[in-house]
Amino acid sequence: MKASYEIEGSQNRKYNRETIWMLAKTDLKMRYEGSVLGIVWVFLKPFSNFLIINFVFSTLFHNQQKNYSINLLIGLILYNFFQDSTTNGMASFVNKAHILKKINIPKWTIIIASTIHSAIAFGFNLIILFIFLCGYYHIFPTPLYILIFFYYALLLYGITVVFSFIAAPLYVRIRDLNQIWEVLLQVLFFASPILYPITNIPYPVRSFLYANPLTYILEHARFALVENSFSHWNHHIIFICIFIPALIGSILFLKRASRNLIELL
Amino acid sequence: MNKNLSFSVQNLSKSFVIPCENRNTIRERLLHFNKKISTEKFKVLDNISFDVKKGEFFSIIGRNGSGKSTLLKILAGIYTPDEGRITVNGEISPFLELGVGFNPDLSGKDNIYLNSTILGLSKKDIDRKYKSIVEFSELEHFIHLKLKNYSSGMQVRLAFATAVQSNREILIMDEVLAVGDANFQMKCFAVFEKIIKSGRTIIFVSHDTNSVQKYSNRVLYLESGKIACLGSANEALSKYMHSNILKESQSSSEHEKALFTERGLADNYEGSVWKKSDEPDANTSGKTEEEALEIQQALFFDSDNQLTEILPYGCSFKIKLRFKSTILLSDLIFKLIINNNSDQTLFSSDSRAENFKCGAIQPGNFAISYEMQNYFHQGIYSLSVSVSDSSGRLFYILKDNFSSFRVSTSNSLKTQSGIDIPHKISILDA
Repeated sequence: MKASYEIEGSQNRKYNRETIWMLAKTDLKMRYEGSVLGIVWVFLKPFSNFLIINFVFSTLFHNQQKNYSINLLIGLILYNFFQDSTTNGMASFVNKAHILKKINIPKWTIIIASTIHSAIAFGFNLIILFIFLCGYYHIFPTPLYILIFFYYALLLYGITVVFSFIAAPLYVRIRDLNQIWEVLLQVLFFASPILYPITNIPYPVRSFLYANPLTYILEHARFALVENSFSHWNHHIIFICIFIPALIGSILFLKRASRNLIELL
Repeated sequence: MNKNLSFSVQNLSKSFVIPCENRNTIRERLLHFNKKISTEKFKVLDNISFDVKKGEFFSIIGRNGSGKSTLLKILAGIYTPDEGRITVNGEISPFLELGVGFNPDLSGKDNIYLNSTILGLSKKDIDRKYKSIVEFSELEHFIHLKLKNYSSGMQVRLAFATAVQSNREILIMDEVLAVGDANFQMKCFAVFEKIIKSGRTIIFVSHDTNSVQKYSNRVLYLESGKIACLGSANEALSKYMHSNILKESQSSSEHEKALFTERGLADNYEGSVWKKSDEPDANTSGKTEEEALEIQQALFFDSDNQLTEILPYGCSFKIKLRFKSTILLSDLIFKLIINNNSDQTLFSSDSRAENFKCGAIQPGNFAISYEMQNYFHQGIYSLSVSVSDSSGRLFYILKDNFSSFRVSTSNSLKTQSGIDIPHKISILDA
């Protein structure tokens, strides 16, 4: 006999939204709980990171590339968001085990809440980015290109969600996934055009780099924001053609992997 | 599904796979990639079917490990059943324990908002109910204090106050009242009554037989993952107590233990299934052997040998149990258990363990007397009595809560436990 669990009557969609928002807010609050500077760390961490790298590569190595610093800043902020969101998303089930074990709550809301929390921190960073962009570098992107930039940020978020939908249930079963992911994140950091412009890379290797979805996001997001340009239609079509099936696949995977998952927590 | 039902559970089964070794990391997996993990299946719930009506106070009882919590988790949709069909009608309050999502580093107020949101209230609802939650929890002064600085009683009060505000139709509660003082428990049950009156359903799991008996419409008694009894509170509870007393009387001898399990902690002593064929058939006038002995009454005598039901603390007293036998009996084993109000066993006597030999007892009336010092606290105590033959396999009498006596206190209570043994504290020089 097949097992079934049915609830008659409507399920509340609004409930999911409020839960996600509440959990994300709590995560953000708890992240710097007890620290003196509190939420200031959200800005301070990526910018100290940026200042160090900028000092090494721009001042010490005399990098004369045009707009090197601002490209580095955008790259770092996007990469930090990616790193933070995937790490949080992957660990979300384990971190929220105390809730999942006691409440029948849609599994995806837990993942989304954890990644949204990173997205909020990313949002704070963007404010600083725009201040730098206009105030220090005197680059004023038009609203259209800001919108395009946000489109790429959304795509980046989409990638982290796809990753988390697959990684979160796996992490419950294989706990060394976080160690592996840490190493892979290091690889990704150097395999993406963050420290160097992609034009510095000779061609056979460059097309290899383009297989990295982060390269695509970083390059086009910078183009939009710094150069105010939008090109390479073929890139976008290929990306979307891969992204949508991946998203659907990850949703199906999460649904399948959620069965009997709580018992393992 | 019938509109009057909250839950319909049909042929529910659930097993857990217990690996004989744990392989959680890649290294372990790689090292033994070609070896399949040997596992064992442990059936926690076995073919369970029942319905819960709307507006019922439905309790689930059973010993530790009988599958109560697993059943609740399946009802709440947290665990997936292996087999069977569960239909839920109405919104379930999805909490099994109080204070889901409570964060020790947030203030009481923030925790109310967090917990309520997880329990399915909107921000607007919480704003409206916030005041009554704080009032109910009696934590007005501490509401901005961090939760980690609360006492456990305060935390439970806050959690319960928040939980009852989630207006779900079905409430599932697992041992929620285990903490909390008597006053708070009373308050909780007052709320439960209100909830029931408003037509909502409560599913309740507890070891506190008193509250189960007091409030439940129906009780489900689980025994090793099977339904041992489903019926009125009295019916299910008496079966539960019965099996408990049977367990109590299990002797240390392994042989006997095996026999008891074989008997399946049976609740039916009428059949002659357990009678060994080589035992003398002592039936008289068509009565079965178990009916050969009857307990008539329990009498209590104070130190002046006066019949009474109220015994003063500190004095010696006598319990006299009067029996009537219809056949010749010999080498009986008498057991007497004294429980307090909340079913804690404070005293237990086993005549065989104490090397008491009663010899042969002629048909007719006889009595057995226990003489002891009264060190019990003020309160009401109940007696449970069992009498078995010398093998300990055949029970003539198995009476739970057969009679009760009261203890009045002549001196103020000094100790905290159920019994107050006279003692002295002194400091000695080393």
